[in-house]
Amino acid sequence: MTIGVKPEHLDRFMELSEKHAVESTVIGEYNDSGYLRLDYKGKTCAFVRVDFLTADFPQWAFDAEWIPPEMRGLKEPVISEPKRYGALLKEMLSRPNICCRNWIARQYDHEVQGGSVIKPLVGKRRDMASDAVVVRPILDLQRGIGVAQALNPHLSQIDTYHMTALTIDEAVRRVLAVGCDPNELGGVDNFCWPTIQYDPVQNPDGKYKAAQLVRANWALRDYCLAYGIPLLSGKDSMYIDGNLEGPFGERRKISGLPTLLFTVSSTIEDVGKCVTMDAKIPGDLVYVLGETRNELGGGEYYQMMGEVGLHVPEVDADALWPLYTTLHRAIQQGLLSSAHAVTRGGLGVHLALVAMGGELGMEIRLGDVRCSHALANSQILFSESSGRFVVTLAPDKQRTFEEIFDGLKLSHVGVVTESPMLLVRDGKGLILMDEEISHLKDCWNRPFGGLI
Amino acid sequence: MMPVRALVLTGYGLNCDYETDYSLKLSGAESHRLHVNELIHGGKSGSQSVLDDYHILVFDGGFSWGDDHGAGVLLASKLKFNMGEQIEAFIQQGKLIIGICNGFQVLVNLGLLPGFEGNYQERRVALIGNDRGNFINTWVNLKMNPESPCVFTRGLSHMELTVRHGEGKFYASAEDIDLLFSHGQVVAQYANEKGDEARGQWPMNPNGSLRDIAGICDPTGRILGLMPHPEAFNHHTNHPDWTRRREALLRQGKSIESLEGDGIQIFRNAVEYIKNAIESGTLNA
Repeated sequence: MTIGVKPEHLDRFMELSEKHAVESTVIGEYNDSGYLRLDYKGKTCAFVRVDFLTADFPQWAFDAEWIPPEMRGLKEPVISEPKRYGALLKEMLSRPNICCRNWIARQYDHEVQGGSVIKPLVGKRRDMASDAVVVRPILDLQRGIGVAQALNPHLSQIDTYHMTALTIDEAVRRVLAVGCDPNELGGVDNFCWPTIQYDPVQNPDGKYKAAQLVRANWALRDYCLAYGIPLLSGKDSMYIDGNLEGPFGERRKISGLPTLLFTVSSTIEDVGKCVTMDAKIPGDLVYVLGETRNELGGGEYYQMMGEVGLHVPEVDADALWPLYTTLHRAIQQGLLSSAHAVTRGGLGVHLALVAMGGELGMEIRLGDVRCSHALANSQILFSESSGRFVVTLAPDKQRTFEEIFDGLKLSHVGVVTESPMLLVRDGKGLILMDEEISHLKDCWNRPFGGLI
Repeated sequence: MMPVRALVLTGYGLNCDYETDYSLKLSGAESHRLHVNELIHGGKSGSQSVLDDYHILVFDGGFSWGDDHGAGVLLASKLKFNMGEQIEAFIQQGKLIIGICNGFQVLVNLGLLPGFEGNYQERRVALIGNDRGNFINTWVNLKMNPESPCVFTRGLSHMELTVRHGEGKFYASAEDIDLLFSHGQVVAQYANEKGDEARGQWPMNPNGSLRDIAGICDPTGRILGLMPHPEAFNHHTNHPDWTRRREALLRQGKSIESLEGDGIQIFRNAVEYIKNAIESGTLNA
């Protein structure tokens, strides 16, 4: 690397450099000529105006043509209600993007610097993915910083605007779930995008891909402004295309799904207030914060059925914000024993994960889940609507909890049980599933369980 | 009263120096982070060693030299060739040395451990690649040996700490392992939740260490090598179960008793030992 050192600091700098066994050589000096001049063995081999090197590229113009999802033939799939909800949930839990991947986190030193507060893996067996991690960067302070990430490329098949919105919302909810402050959010956006430059032969849908990028950026602007997230731009990869060899020696062009990896950080004044996602005490009440809508498009359930769908989750940031600030108040007041953002796979998967985290059971009344309108059981279980959390709390906190959430979308849906079964009833009180938590965990562990 | 002074090494890929330094300060020591090269070249005059200013020398965790040639090997060589005599003098003065994780690997490569019969030159035991082949970061239960002469673990019977290593399997000949046990030099063993030896079972024994050995000391008990990281349990929120524990206590109308983590006791014991040694004049410094 090259660095600039004031001439009067050179001796001290060289001393430091030697102490750290780093070889350093003075190769030139700054001046006010406005030119960069490089000499080699007494001969000038470069002489360039600095403003030429620092000036931006000229504005790039490209064609973008958006085609709404209906015009691309997308529709809601026609799937009747299943008969075996328990078996279905187990299959969902073993999907690669939902199942246990803790062998990855265990191979990375996530406690170095000694400030670890919430680790990537939490729960009774320390095997559940945490919503976010929290560290105490300054060891003699109680103040912490939390970080979470989200990534939902499948939603791009419907609309990259909503993909971006949901991804930002998910990352925000993850840091809020552990107790971070909604007013201290910061973000990093990493785009992984296919080539957007139109070419009639090499990239015939380039204009559509360009429109996907434009729409993603609109959402990035809209939601970062709405949530008050300053962005540090991240590393982007804008040419995610490959020409893969086929069985006959031909090469086929494959473009990656438009993907946004969104990272959110925030602070927490007192790390002693942090919460984790695992159910903790039998008898605790289970609440869902937020509203469930008919939004399974691009989600795990439809993917499992080989479908994309049309009803992509949308994010109404203004409506969600009061819920988020109130959640923070509830955590600050110590009202919650667990909090977890409902993300990929929906309520069915995430209620199961909360119970599995505590190796406790749950009795859930699906009919009490607050929905935008009447939904089928499978829709309530697997919709990926934004803005939702599962929280558990001690019964003696119920009144205070409901008071501070007064007027917000909240539903009391069940109870944590000693008996390690996930029991889910429909709106009529009929049992939809009654599954042993250990069996659910087996299914969730199985795909990668033996990898360490 | 003379302060207890501790030296925590930094540089060349060591990365646990801040929290180790912090833990020592919490324990009442006057602690400094010092670059390896400052230790080697920083003597005030030709013959005087930087080490003379300190009572506790800490080889902290990290990846010195990127673990090239085996974890801890290069740092051990560098110190042996540049500081061998001064380190041995430091031991003879009755002072304390602790090596944690990479530091433990350095101590066995220096030959400071096991230190049978006062021989601090011989590489006789090893920390080799984990049986499962991967780096692992996980919390372990440790059974501490109350019969051990180790001054760092006095009064401790059990402790939970994190391990983070790829080369932590303790290996030695059967005879040497017997010697270690018979001299009380086995300080800590990986255990199950009840505190009984893990008997090699993964993940309670995370690396396949023979006889579940997680830490050993020299025969004097003043040099300790430990694979787990006590400095990473400096605060109660470092423990992976703390939110569960807080909730359980809350239901009994109680709250977390102390912000300090259990790992600090290991450093506190060291500081207390030196304080007493200074007071009673038993340090030969």
